[in-house]
Amino acid sequence: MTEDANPIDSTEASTTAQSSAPEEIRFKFHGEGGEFFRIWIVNLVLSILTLGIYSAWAKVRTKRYFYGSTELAGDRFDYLASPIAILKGRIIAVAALAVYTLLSIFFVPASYLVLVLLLLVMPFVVMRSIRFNAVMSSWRGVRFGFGGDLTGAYQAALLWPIFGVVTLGIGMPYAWYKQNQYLYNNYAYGRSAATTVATPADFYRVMFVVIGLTLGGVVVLALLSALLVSVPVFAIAIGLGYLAFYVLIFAGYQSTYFTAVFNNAEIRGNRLQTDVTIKGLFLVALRNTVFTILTLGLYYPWAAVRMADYLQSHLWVEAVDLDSFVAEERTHENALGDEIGEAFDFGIGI
Amino acid sequence: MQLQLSGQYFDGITSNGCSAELRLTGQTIEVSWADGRQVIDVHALAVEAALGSVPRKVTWGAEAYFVSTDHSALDDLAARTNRPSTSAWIGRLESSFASVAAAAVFCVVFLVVVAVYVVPTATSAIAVQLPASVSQQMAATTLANLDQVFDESQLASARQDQLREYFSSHGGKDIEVFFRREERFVGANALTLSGTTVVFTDAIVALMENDEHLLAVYLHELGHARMRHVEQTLLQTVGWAVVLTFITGDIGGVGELILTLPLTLGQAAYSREYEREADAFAVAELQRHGIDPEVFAQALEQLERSHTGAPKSGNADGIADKTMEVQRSLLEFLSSHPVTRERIATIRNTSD
Repeated sequence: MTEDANPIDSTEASTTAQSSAPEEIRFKFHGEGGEFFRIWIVNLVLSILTLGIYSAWAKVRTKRYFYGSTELAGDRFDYLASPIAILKGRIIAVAALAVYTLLSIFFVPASYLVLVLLLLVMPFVVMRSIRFNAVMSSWRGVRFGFGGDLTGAYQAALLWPIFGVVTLGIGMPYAWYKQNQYLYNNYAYGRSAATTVATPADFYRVMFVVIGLTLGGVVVLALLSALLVSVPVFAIAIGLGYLAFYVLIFAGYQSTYFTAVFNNAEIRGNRLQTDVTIKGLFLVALRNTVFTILTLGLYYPWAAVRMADYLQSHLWVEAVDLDSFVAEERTHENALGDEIGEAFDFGIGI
Repeated sequence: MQLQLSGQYFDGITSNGCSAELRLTGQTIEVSWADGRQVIDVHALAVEAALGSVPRKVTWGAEAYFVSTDHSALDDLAARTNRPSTSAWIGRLESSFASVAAAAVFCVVFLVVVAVYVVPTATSAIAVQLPASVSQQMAATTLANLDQVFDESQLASARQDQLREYFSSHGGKDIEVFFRREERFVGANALTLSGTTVVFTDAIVALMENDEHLLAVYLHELGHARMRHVEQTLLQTVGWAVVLTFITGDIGGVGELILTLPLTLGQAAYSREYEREADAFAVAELQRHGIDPEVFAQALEQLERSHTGAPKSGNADGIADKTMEVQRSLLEFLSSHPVTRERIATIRNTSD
């Protein structure tokens, strides 16, 4: 722990950290593909039969299944959101999406205006969405929380991404770093705030890995095309090559980003750690993608479970004390923002 | 009336759970753990409905709760305390093999029916109602995008005007005809951008032996324009996206990708149908103007020869060129090649 002494750490955290040697406690996923398939397919049918209204209940059921199948130190996580809140927001979101899509095809100038409006509202929605998801997540009866403010949201969700684009992508990893700061210095478990010690270098590593894999993949694909051009099954081989290439880039991005975030987050001296690898994630994702395509999507529940299983079995806590967190006093929050946020589904998990 | 199950007790204030026992005696529930116990009236109790094998909470209107994985005992407890709930009913649907199998069949059939029938029918009804200004706007946007790849036509403006004059004297006075030069991707071709706009490449003007062949191609495009085929296709994509977003919501990234497959298949079938409709339109118009529809069949033959002919030279990237060539021949094998022959045969049959 000593090499990580950092200015953000609260004194409380440091003293707790020194009091006992950390114990490695691994996350464990108990979900099963067959079990989730049943939940997923019933969700789908009821959503269709109710013209989409049930999809809010379906979402809660799915999240509850994944949270409830996630175990840490003998106890499961819990997802507590009410489907009605999600339904309201989802109606607004679908309306906005439909208006924007129609305008962007049939009346382009107005669609720009709508896009600008959406961009300006987006950071607020993102912030409420993160908070909603955090507050609705709990473990051992203590809820998570998020204390990020609106200024921070505009910087993290608008300013820094624009900076990343303006610098032609060179500044994008720095933007990711800033977003991670906004998230993991504002998350809380009960009354205890989380902190992150991630550095810009962690996120530049993500970019270099993606660039490296892309260049390598292009060379390999070009060589393959040259070698196999006369083979009759050429098109199939090239198709598989492209698929593997995209999955590889996804795996490279996902695993390095996951590592940058979770190897650096801590809460009261309890440090999250991960040993997810590009190779490991690639093998899971490739298998998932191929099977899902071959089964026209019916494999999806097994794929989702396998991915959760892989990520969680490679995630653990260097725990010093998980028993003495105290819940925040419950306050009533502005529901509308939460609902819209939830509906737009900016999937930033804890 | 005795029921007992073990689990964990959480006070809802600290993250420190304790092993606990829950005991039902008559109308009273007792939850007891290492250093405490709580007595609750059975009517205040709620047992979470089953969700797979996820542990279920027993709550009594306080922040504290009891959680257990002893599902059969929890079911017994729920039977004595809970009002029948929808989520319990859904849990039963999920655990019955018959209902799960029926659900799977229903989903597949539903998606295919919506993609192949509902969305196209609805969108074609809307497409024909769209005002011309909307189509013009669409075409302007598409042409602006295409012009990043297209060059200005090298046809003399007198020739362009002569062709426009010739075309519009055979129908479609309100249609705008553009000429563009593009050798690498499109080659000899004519494109309908929307219900108001058609583009010819220089290559097709050069390829066709005479202007009657060009007129036949124009009338085919006019058919697409009059039946608003481009607008229909666009609306289908939008409609499908809205349907999917609304109905599935959180089906998951890969799932959404896969669920667009029925639409893609549906559109492929429809685009062949569109070609047939436009061909029939062209044949009928040619006959109306006293021109032998055989010119259309000849035009298609010339186009087919130009597309399956020798690979174009002047491409710097040898590998990409070869790749493209192989992919193109595969594509032609899969779609247009047999279809083109079939189309030519159909034209000759109908005009006999």
